[in-house]
Amino acid sequence: MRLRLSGLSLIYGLALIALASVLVSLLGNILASLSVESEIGRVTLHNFARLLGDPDFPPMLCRTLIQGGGTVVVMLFFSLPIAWLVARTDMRGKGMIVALLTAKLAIPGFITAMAYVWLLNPNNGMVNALLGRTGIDATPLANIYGLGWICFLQGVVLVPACVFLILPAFFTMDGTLEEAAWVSGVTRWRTLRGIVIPLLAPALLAAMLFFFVVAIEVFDFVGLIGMPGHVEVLSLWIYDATHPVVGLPDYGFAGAAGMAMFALSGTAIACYVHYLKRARRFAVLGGKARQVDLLELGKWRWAAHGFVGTWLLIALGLPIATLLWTALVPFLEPPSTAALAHLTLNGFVFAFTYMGKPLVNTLLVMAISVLLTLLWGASVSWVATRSRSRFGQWLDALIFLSPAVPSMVAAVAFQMMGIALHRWIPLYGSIWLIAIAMATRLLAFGTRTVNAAAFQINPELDEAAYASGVSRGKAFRRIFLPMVTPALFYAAIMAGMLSARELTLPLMIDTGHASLVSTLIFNLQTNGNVGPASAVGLYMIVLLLALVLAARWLGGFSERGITSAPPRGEEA
Amino acid sequence: MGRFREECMSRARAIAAALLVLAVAGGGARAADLPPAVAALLPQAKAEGLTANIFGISLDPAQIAAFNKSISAFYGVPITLNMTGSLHPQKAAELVQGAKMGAESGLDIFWTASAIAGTLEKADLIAPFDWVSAFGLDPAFREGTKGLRLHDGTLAGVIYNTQLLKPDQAPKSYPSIVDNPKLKGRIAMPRAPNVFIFMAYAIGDAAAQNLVKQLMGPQQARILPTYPDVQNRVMSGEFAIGLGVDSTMARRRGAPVANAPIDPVVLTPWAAWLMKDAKHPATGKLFGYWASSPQGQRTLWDVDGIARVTTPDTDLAKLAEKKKVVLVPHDYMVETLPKLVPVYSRLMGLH
Repeated sequence: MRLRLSGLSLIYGLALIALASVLVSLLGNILASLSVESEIGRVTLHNFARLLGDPDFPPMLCRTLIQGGGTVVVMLFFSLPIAWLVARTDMRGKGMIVALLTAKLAIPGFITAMAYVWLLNPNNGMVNALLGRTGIDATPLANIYGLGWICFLQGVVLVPACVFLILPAFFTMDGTLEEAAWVSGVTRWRTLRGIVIPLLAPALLAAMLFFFVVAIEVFDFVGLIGMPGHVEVLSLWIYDATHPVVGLPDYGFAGAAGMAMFALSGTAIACYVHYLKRARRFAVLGGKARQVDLLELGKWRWAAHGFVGTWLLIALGLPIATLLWTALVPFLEPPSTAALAHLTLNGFVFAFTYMGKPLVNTLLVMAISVLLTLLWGASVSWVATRSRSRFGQWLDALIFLSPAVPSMVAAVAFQMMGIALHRWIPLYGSIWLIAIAMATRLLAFGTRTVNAAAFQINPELDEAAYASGVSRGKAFRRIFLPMVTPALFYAAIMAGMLSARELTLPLMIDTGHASLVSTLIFNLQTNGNVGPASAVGLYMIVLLLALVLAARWLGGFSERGITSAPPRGEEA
Repeated sequence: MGRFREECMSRARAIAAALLVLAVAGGGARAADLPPAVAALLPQAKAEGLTANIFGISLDPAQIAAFNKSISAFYGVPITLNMTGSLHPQKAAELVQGAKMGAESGLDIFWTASAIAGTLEKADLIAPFDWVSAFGLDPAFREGTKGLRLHDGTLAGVIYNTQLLKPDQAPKSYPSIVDNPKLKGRIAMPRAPNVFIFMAYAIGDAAAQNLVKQLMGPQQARILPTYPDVQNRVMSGEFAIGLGVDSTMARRRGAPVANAPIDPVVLTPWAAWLMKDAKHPATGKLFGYWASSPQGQRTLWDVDGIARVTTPDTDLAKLAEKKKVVLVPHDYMVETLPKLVPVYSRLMGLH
């Protein structure tokens, strides 16, 4: 009895701590939206009046919806086939594909944006130059500065995260239904459409909603592509409010804009929660479930490789080439034969000498973030999918809502928490606070990934265990955790990669003693040291890739999920 | 590899030159030449651990090391400057809110322009220390009543790509930026209306507003997120003209950019402000005195390409030769700038 209580207490305790962390940013946003500029606590409704009363608000909101929707469409166009190819076919080189997906996560978005600005800008973009469409009087053929390109590039860079979110659901899906369909003469295409996609519906819907919120919050592409093209979207308004040229940042207006994102996200999440009430019908992984045999691609193998290769070229090849080029030139200049004479390894040498302490701090932050994301994510997912309580649903919905808080506002909320607690807990300005804030920001991804896998595990496994006298805590450890381990692995990869490159949180929270690699890159770039900044980025990509490959090897993971795990159903 | 060796040598020469300056400064023997008020700070600074936390400019580790070597040689004792830089308005907001909640700033010196310092002054976070009177400095170094002017910012500066424009095609006045129709779509500027408000101080509000209207209208100028973005994209040749930036450090790396010879030369002073809750006030004051001295100014210029316009043998001084130099005053930055920001933001289409 004592063990049972302590097991449950631990799960709920972790879930409550996770909820408290998420509430810091959610309530921080609400409080900010009701405050006068940066004077948190001086209550006003003026921010909402300003936001909603702005005549540009409706068109801006429409563009924001297009930005989010367009990004999700592009992202699914690439990620759904890639996840399916990796999980359900005999495609070769899947390990390499997963490794390259991971590498993409380590590349900051602004690098991808910069690569495409070089290619497609109307003044001296290489595509226009090749077509002879540059020069004072020439009319460019390609012009990157538009909403369509923002959607396309954001969609392309979100592919790895989306694949990692839906891949566990592919792995845990019961294959017997597919095989039954094939045996009954149903075509592969109809099986995919009628069985596989409906079974994956909760995971797909979660991915669509989650990345819709992420897409309208990220700033890299809006800043570098949207701003010069006068593409006004919500994240740009938030940027303006939080980056004043004089006086204090207007966190009040940013908070109100964040509330608009809440409204958009909240509506989507309400639909999702309503949908999940029927989620049990997607639970097919019971005690007797097993995976389906891999589909032979046959003559389609080259088409599959071509598809994945196209994405790799767009998302990884060009940005890596850009990083490499910028690391080798002493100042930012586009590739040309004349520029080849300027190539130097100085950037790599200087980067190596600069990285010591920031790298140690970054690895520490990554480790804490990953650990917290996994502990909180697993606990929250169990409560949300297994407890069948209203609290579980609310908990899940609130955590799902958290990415809607603008990064800058979330950073300020954690900063204020650190200041408020500084007399009792020395968190203010420390890497611990940065790691907690990062884990909180990443928690929604962790829970989406684990939930997607957890919804496919039939509760009959738990019920059988409880009926046999197994405690809930033990069922959590012996049934739930092993079943969602692939999901936890991908959540860990995502948390590690994203915490390594996150800039806003450390930039805002660090008080001078917790410099990270991302802030080092920021400082180098601010100083015009583009070469060393790019070289640091490349070192980090190699290091992170090595870490992920080592983790895969040590943990016995493969592109099929867990190779060393027992066959499904054995635990039950 | 030849170029690599050449750049290493160039860097080594720069450091050697800086060290030579330090040697000329006299190292430890220099302490005897210090004004009594400054020399009296050394024992206090030693009691503080000879460390100061300076927030202001973003420097890489090599630059910070060069600063530390220079100031240590100047005073003859090993001084460690913890230099950090990030987003100034956000840092100011953090300090103001933190002070209300009883948190210490953790800083000794805030090195920034008056526009930000004004916010800190209003929140009573700046120590009432008159640097000029205390150390007997040139009154021109006084910024407001509590600041010590360390360098003159170039936020109203204009750069051009030397591969796209010949020196005689470079703009020579602010209005001439919009006179050339061939520059249509070729001008980049940061999302910062203050650039034009600083210009307005020198050329008048109406002329500056007209400039923005022309840039946003017929000239189809592109707005970029940050100042480094503007500099980088002029370097890369995407844009011919960049507003709000300086070309010094980029030129040192060999980039094809130069400062446009705009007359008047409009500069925005940046000053050292001693924090009221400084834990190392003596070391912070030593930093200010050193950075303001000829030796400190030379280090600032050699290491980061910044200095006061009056510091001799700098590109900034050369740019200002035979031109009208306008320093945007403290009161204008604190009082007028905030009032004009909404006006110019609207003209730029910002929110």
